[in-house]
Amino acid sequence: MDKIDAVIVGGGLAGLSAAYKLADAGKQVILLERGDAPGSKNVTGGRIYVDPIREYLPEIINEAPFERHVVKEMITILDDDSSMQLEYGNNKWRKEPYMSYTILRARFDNWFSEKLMEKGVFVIPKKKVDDLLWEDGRIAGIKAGGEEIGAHIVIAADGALSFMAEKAGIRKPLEPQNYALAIKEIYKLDENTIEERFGLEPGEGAANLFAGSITKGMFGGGFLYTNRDTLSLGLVVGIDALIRQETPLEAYRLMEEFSARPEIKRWIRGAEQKEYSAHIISEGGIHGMPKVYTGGMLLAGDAAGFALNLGLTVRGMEFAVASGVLAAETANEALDKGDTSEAFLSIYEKKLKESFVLPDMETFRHSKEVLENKRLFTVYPKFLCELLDVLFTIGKGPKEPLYKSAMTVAKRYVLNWDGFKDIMSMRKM
Amino acid sequence: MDKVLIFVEAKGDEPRKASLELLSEGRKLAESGQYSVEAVFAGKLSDTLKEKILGYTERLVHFTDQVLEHYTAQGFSLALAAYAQETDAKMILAGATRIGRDFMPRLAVLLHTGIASDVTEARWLENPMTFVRPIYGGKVLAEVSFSTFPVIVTARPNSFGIEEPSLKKGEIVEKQTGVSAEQVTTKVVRIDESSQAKVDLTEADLIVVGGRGMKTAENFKLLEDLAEVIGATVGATRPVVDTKWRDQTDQVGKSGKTVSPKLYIGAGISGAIHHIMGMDTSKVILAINKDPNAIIFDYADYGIVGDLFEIIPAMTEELKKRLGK
Amino acid sequence: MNIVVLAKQVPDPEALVEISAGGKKLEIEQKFATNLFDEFAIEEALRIREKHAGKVKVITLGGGKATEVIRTGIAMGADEALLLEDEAFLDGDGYATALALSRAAAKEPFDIILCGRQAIDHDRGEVGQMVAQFLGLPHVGNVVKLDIADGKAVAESAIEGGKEIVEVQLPAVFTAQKGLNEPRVPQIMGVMKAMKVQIPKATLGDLGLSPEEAGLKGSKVRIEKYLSPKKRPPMQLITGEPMQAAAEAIRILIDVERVI
Ligand SMILES: Cc1cc2nc3c(=O)[nH]c(=O)nc-3n(C[C@H](O)[C@H](O)[C@H](O)COP(=O)(O)OP(=O)(O)OC[C@H]3O[C@@H](n4cnc5c(N)ncnc54)[C@H](O)[C@@H]3O)c2cc1C
Ligand SMILES: Cc1cc2nc3c(=O)[nH]c(=O)nc-3n(C[C@H](O)[C@H](O)[C@H](O)COP(=O)(O)OP(=O)(O)OC[C@H]3O[C@@H](n4cnc5c(N)ncnc54)[C@H](O)[C@@H]3O)c2cc1C
Ligand SMILES: Nc1ncnc2c1ncn2[C@@H]1O[C@H](COP(=O)(O)O)[C@@H](O)[C@H]1O
Repeated sequence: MDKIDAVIVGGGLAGLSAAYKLADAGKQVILLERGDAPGSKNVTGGRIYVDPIREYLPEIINEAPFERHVVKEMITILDDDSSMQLEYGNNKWRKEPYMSYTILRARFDNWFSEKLMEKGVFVIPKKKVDDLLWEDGRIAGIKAGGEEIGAHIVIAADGALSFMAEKAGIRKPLEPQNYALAIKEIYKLDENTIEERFGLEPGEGAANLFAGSITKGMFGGGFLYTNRDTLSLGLVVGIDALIRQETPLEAYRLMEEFSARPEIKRWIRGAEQKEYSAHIISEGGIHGMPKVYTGGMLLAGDAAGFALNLGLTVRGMEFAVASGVLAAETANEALDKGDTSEAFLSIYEKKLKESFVLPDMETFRHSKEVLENKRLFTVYPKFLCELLDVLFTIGKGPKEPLYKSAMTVAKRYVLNWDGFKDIMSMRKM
Repeated sequence: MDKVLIFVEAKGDEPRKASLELLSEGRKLAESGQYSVEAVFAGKLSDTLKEKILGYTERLVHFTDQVLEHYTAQGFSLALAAYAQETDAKMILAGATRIGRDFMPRLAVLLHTGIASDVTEARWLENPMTFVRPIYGGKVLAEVSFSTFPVIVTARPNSFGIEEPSLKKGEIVEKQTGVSAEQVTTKVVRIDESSQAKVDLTEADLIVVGGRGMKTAENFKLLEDLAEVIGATVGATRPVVDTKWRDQTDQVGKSGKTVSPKLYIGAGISGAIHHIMGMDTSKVILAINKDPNAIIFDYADYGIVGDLFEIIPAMTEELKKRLGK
Repeated sequence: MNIVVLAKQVPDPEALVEISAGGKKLEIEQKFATNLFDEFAIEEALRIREKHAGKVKVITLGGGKATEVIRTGIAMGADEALLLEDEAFLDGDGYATALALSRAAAKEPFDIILCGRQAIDHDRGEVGQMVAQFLGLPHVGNVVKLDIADGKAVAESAIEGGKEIVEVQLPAVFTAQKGLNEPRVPQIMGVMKAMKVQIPKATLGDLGLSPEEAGLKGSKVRIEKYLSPKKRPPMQLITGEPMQAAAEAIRILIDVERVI
């Protein structure tokens, strides 16, 4: 069989980046995406940090159609009936080069795939890869819709549930504790209103993260990002926690309750909901990671488990870009050498170790355990909110000295053995 | 006065509703004093049908050429073109039925003019005359005008009201248009009537539509029963048609029929945009779905959250009570 | 058997469409697809070719993304293509579009023209019939079955409440309706071929048309403005036990809405 240089499975950030780099090196590449177009099935919260990846794909990062550069960080802690909001801004974020942008994947990925086509990559949407081809115990191509396409190397960038990794026998089937469920809605709101409402200058964006009772004690949180003329609103909850709830609450209900909170309504008032989507996030951290290469195949992005859930933020896009590029570099060297054996491809892991990808995954290796602590999503938000309640409430009769009331609240919630344990565990992060 | 021709279509002895709607509009045009309006009919014209049409027009022109006895796009467009030229017609109207939509575009080319297809509103007496037609499956409306004459329009059924027939009957004129058999190169071999529906979905006033929530083909009996009591027509969503529970002709939506009834009742339908596009111009929409988040509720006037297998039979019972059946 | 397919690239049915510039313009989300009905037309053409030999040529009129529909056609298996790409062709009504397409189709001898029942962007359902008239040919609309034999076609046309079986001498025009066939999914190899192909193009001059006869200028019907459909008031939820809710619904339909 005639073989093509490389087949890339999945048109997310990882796949697109890998394809770009390989085509740039003059290799013949097919990228297969099961969605209607690259980006059409991607759900992402919507913020990308560009500094770590600029050097990997300078042309792309510098020209990409991002939404807004983030100049304002907000954190909202919610209890059942009360909330506290923190806003942090720093003027340095207003200057180029910007640190992070909000992003809409449908738009971004579409643009990216046009760039690929200009480079001669065969970007083929509406094609689901069903299986792998094997030759001498090594992966030698893919099967899709009854067609067999031989390839010297396959890069599996098929996202968090990577079926390819499973087929290749380098990942175990889905384990709930390694995944979170995310729901995201997109609301249309005109540019000026967004800027006025969030106090932004034209082109500037805000990120608002939410934690507390909205996830009913489950591991997770909410986010709100300002795009050019839309808002991305979402909620992330651990699947494990969802399954183990005492009174099971469907995820969409959580989302409904979340978006009905006055703290959210104020932002989305008058906006029209345009999209609703749900997606899986892999967040097992380094524990959830499969082996990322085998003879004839490399894994990149979420497929390789390169994503971190840091409670209030999810980081995955930078890892997807970097690992995609590194996989392409590895593949390119392997193709030039004519050696796609497992032994040769192991240089991929070395490259990952030398980059920020694996070191970051390592640094945050305990984050999952720490964040699983239910108290973070119940006790602490309550504590903060009640503390403020004490501060701001004047009722009938004489008011107790503030210190005394505060201590009462603190003792109830945090100044105890559990609180001490929490602090100790935080140091692992 | 400018001449307006209204093409009248019939089913058996009944003029099609779309035709009666246009004839009713035609009366208003005649009353304005700017137009003289004629109804045009081709094919077999029974006395009953003739009477019915004459209640709506001062003049009915009956094309009696042999070749026009059965509908063909070529025959009908040639005949109407010849007559339009002879009378220097300024406007030619037909219902946006299967037939109207089939041959009127040919007529437009024959007369070197344009056509506004499937319009839902008409501002006949404005200058310039404008028409509104839904585009992008009804997501947007386009207001269009003509730069040439005659103005050719097909109108979506149920877009205009039907007036009472007048007591003063119009005159009838028989006419040979001169279309010959050689000019018609298609031959209808046979017509298979598959569905027994009394009224076609596109024309029905009342429609009851079932989706995948109906679970089986047999369960559609529940909708048939409801429809029976109120004289409604039953429709279906695409998955229902794809699984062969219902005939393709019953499909409502983007790749099926566009309906515009007075009442649309939808049961067990999620409300995918492709379906909505085919029913969004219904006057009153009642949706029944057990999922409170079903999108169809965003498009409905009334909604019942519940099990259709309980609600539909209950509605049928209640209707029988109310309507004394 | 030489078969011409007229196929159009249209915004995806799910693309957002918004009115802008005070009703003068539409902003359409950049998501495209081959017109649903035209896919049936392409598929049918390929099936006829597979049975009777010959070639299939896809013709499209349009700018920008219009090449995609041609690539889809070639990926599915079409042999030839022609793109009518000239600023002057754009924004035409059914008449202007059909005039250009009929000229393009007639550039070479053909036996069959297949097109879709309707393009799902402007929902006109005119072009096929108009092309037939411009070429002085018969057409059969809403075709759900097509058999070709001995220079003749027997077509089943979906009509209200049934089917009409029509016999017609070739050459003729057929407009495809859902039910005609199940369009094939292009093979990866086909897509690769399609992506590499150079698409032949024709301009106004190539078709012997003047600027006054094409596109917006050549249109007999023009869009004056775009309007938003009337919004329904928010839904009224009918609550209660099934019996109660059903009774209440009937009461509303009969007494309040008076639609029954
Ligand atoms: C709600 C949410 C919020 C997030 N927020 C952020 C954030 O703010 N910042 C951040 O950095 N990260 C965020 N992430 C994580 C980030 O989106 C992912 O880590 C990143 O998109 C991974 O890219 P990828 O290319 O590996 O996978 P994906 O983007 O998932 O792409 C995989 C692609 O493969 C395709 N595919 C799958 N199987 C097949 C098959 N068999 N054949 C063909 N194609 C196939 C899919 O259709 C898909 O397009 C968030 C994730 C979610 C869900
Ligand atoms: C290009 C294209 C064209 C299309 N064209 C059309 C078209 O013309 N027409 C069309 O209809 N579709 C069309 N579709 C398909 C469309 O996208 C949807 O898939 C389809 O409309 C869904 O049909 P449904 O609502 O019957 O089924 P589902 O989406 O499966 O919905 C079934 C609903 O029934 C409810 N339900 C189940 N049981 C009960 C019960 N006991 N009581 C009450 N409710 C219950 C469920 O809650 C659910 O909401 C098209 C799709 C594409 C891609
Ligand atoms: N610009 C175009 N290019 C190619 N084919 C077209 C074009 N416009 C319309 N058609 C064909 O004519 C059919 C009917 O289109 P319409 O009359 O616009 O609804 C479509 O399904 C296509 O097959």
